[in-house]
Amino acid sequence: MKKRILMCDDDEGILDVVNLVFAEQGYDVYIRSQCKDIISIVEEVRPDAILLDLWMPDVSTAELVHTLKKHKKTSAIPISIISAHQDVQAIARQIGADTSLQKPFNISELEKMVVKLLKK
Amino acid sequence: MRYVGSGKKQHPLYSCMVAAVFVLIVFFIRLFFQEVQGVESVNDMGTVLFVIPIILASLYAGLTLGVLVTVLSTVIIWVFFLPVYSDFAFVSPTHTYILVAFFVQGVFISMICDTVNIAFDLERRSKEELGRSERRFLALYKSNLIAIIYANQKGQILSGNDMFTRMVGYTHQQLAEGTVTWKTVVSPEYTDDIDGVYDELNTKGMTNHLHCDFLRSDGARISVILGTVIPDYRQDRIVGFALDVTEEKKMGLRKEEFTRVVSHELKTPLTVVTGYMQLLERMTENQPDHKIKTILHKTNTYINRINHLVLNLLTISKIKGDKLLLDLKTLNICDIIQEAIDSTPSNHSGRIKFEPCAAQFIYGDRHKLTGAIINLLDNAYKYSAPTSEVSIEATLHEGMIHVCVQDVGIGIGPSDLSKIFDRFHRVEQHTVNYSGFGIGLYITREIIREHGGEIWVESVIGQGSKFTFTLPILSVPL
Repeated sequence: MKKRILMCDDDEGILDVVNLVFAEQGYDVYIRSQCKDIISIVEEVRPDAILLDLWMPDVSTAELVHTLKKHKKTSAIPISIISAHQDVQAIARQIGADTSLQKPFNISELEKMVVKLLKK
Repeated sequence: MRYVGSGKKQHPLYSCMVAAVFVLIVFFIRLFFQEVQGVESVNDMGTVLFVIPIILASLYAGLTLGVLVTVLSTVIIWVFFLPVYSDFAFVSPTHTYILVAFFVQGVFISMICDTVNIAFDLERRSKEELGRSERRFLALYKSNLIAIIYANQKGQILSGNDMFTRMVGYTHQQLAEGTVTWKTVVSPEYTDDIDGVYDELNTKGMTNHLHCDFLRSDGARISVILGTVIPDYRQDRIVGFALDVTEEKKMGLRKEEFTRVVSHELKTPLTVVTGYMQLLERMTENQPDHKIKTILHKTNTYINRINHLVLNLLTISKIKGDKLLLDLKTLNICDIIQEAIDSTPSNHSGRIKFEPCAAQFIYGDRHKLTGAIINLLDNAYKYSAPTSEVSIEATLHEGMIHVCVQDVGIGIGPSDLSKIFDRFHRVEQHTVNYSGFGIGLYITREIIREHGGEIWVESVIGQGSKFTFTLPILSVPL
């Protein structure tokens, strides 16, 4: 069965690159530029891994992670935070995400991170 | 302070005239007494009168004038008031004794008066100095450029200038009532710091600047730099000086916000472009057209350079003030060097001489260390001939990795060697011919220092430069 990846980012370019990279490798990629209603999106998509941008308009990523980890049905899904922030690793740990990736990144770094995330 | 003499400092001629006037006045008084009383020879009254000008002169202008008046008085007594003894001697032995005694007495009186004068002079000067000092302090107090606070050893704030009352929102009356304390005006999270201030004051008499927040009576928060001192004249009092830096702090926050926005706005499109380029490279991997591959590779190299520049700018904005945050992992230094070499623009790639080294592990931040080595390599490329060799090697010395980047370029003069790692420093002769901001080596030094290493440079003009940095080695990789 194909692994499902959900990516939330307000930048269409990043979403497109992630889509191109993982669709090519046989994943089901779901990209969203608005993730305010994260629970209903996750219930609809049922992803195996979630990639979240740290800064998104009108929504707090920390709250999103908190909501997902608190919710019974979604708490087991591994989450990675993607951001240009220099301290993304510490922030990701602080808000309860499983891993992180700093922008700018290479495609190979992104692939490695997702493979690792899916094993969690 | 040591005073050599006292009294008013006058021109010597003026002093002589004053001395002459004093003595002449007494001379005429003495003559008057002689005429009225018919005194023929010198008596006690005769010399006592001359003591008066000696006292006045030495009090007025110090020891010198006192002695001068003594000499003049002695001569006048001798010439005018002593009878001629014989054809061969002008003064009788008894009168000689009187004259010598008068002279010694005159000098002695001059010295005593001079000492008294010095004591009064010292007191007068210290009062003047204290007055001047108080006036200066009062000017500062009233200028309201900074807040000035008077407190006691119990922590009560007794008074303050208008700037302070405006800053904290309490009235002078409230301060005078003694109900306002440091704990009232300083935000609770700084209570321990204020205790520390008192400890420091009691040992050193003054404190280093403390950055803290004051809480106004209306609850608003004011960021201040606070300095305190115990004045010499009141050991039970504490004088505090507070400078409002709320605006500066806001500026700092705005700078952080700017960094955050720049970081996001520049890095996100860079990530997208990098992603598309790498996808294109993958898609053309099996294509026979080498031109496309070469163009894609070159484009990637330049994107990497933009990435590196953005990273440098963000790093420099982080260095000032606070420490660099490192993402520490176990790294093989040889991989880091290779990664830096791979980021080298293709037109320089043929110049690098690097012998693959045996794996040596360190604990460090991969991105930042790679950036530091790229900075050194960029420097070597920039300041040497376009085809000359640039060598890089990693060796092990006494538990430290030594990484050397050496070029055979234009070199650095002795006067610039000590400043080469300073922020925004550029060698003057290079500013015309070579572009740059003078931040690369500064960032490199900060990154190396944060990793517990050192960096230095050896250079000879016209022969090239050798930059060496050290990093502590991990004996057992984590």
